[in-house]
Amino acid sequence: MDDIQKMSIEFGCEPANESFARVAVAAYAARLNPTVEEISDIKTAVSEAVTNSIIHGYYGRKDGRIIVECTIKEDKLTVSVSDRGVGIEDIDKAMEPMYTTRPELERSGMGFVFMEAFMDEVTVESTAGEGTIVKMSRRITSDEQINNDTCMAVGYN
Amino acid sequence: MEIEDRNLIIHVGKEIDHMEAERIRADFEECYMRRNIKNVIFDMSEVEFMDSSGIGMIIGKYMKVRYVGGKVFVTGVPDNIDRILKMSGIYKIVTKRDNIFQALRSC
Repeated sequence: MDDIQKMSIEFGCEPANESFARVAVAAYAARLNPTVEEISDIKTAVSEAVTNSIIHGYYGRKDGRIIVECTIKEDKLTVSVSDRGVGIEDIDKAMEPMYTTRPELERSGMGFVFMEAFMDEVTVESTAGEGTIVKMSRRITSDEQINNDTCMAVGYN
Repeated sequence: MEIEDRNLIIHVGKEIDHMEAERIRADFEECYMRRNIKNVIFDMSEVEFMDSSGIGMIIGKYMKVRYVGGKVFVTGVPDNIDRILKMSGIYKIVTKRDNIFQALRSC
């Protein structure tokens, strides 16, 4: 059963949960022996998706719930972030660099650009009024030499 | 935050995400309203994590100070954060310096 590997967490739409979500996913991904750089990439991508759910999906709401699900198949980590918020009217537009509906909050419009840059695959499913699911995956190199260097660098050995 | 002449130095926390960017934005607004700020220096030496909220934060300050001929600097940028800044293309509008002292000399 692949499901035995699956991890899921559900939390409320408060900004403090952004760091909780990215740290939880990073801890889950740790079993694949990722490099420091890979962990950093995954954390940034998860942070982008969860921040989108909070700032856009559940804008002005306090009761929204966000679900983050992760699976590992061989060397591939898959993360999905879903909300039942307002949804995205035009997904292509939303994914354009520098496009944001919240410039007044100093949002850069780079969220999806970062997700696509840091993950191998990103897909977005969304229905206006129903919510959004962002699915992302990334192969982890598990390069022993690199990871030994990483361990040395962070002082594990 | 520290002010030296018309230069505002912002010491950024370990994790620049939505919350930290909002905190800095609020502090900045208060400071900016009261003082005649021209240049902004972000001291990034403590930063371990950043997402696109950090890019929005830096662009936001650039949009403010450019009207008075001011500049925005980032200093002490760790390698993993440098990667993200490069990818965003922000170095077209923001100058990188090794440390705060060097940035102040370029103001």
